[in-house]
Amino acid sequence: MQETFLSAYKSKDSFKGKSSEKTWLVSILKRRIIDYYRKEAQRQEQNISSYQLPFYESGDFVNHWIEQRAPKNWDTDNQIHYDEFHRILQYCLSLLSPKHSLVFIMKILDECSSEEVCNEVNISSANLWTIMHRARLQVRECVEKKWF
Amino acid sequence: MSLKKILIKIMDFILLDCKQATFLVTKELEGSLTFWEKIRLKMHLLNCKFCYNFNVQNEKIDGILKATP
Repeated sequence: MQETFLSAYKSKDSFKGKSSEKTWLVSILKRRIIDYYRKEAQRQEQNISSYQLPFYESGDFVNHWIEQRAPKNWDTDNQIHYDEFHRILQYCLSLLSPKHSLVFIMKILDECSSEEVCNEVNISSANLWTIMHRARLQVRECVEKKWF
Repeated sequence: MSLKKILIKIMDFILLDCKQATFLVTKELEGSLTFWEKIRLKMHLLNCKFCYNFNVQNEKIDGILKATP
């Protein structure tokens, strides 16, 4: 609200008096609100895709597992747990970015060929492998966190 | 540089590091590895419990997803 008056003051010279002051201020306010939501949407998109790989990025153990985030031993042989496991898996898939989850589901569930997926999502095959790699790391870690 | 660090560097050179290994696991599940990639991956998985687990778990995830009606 304050910002509206501030930007109105800054651009007061461009106000030609064709419309009333009220209409003018309201139009600035509207634009401010739109800007806010647009920025918010961008921020969320970044948040979703900002998954950090569970490997050391530098040092002696570069590209090796960070121990706390490395895959532990799963005991999923027990049939009773199947439904629960499946529910968690669905939840974890929903946390992937829209593009990653689309690629993941097309590749595994629909068993599409790599070319089909690449054409559909418009990515190169090298990019497809990178996305699958990230998605698998992320889903696996999420399942482990929720389940064990 | 300690002996352990040198050993890790040599092992990485021959047997891949974990990031490369998990990448190859991903590619293998989709069924497209070259002969040498297969050998190096197998050797890595024998030596690295974490990557071995990663492989088993992703096979399990695929299995459960595909079994869904």
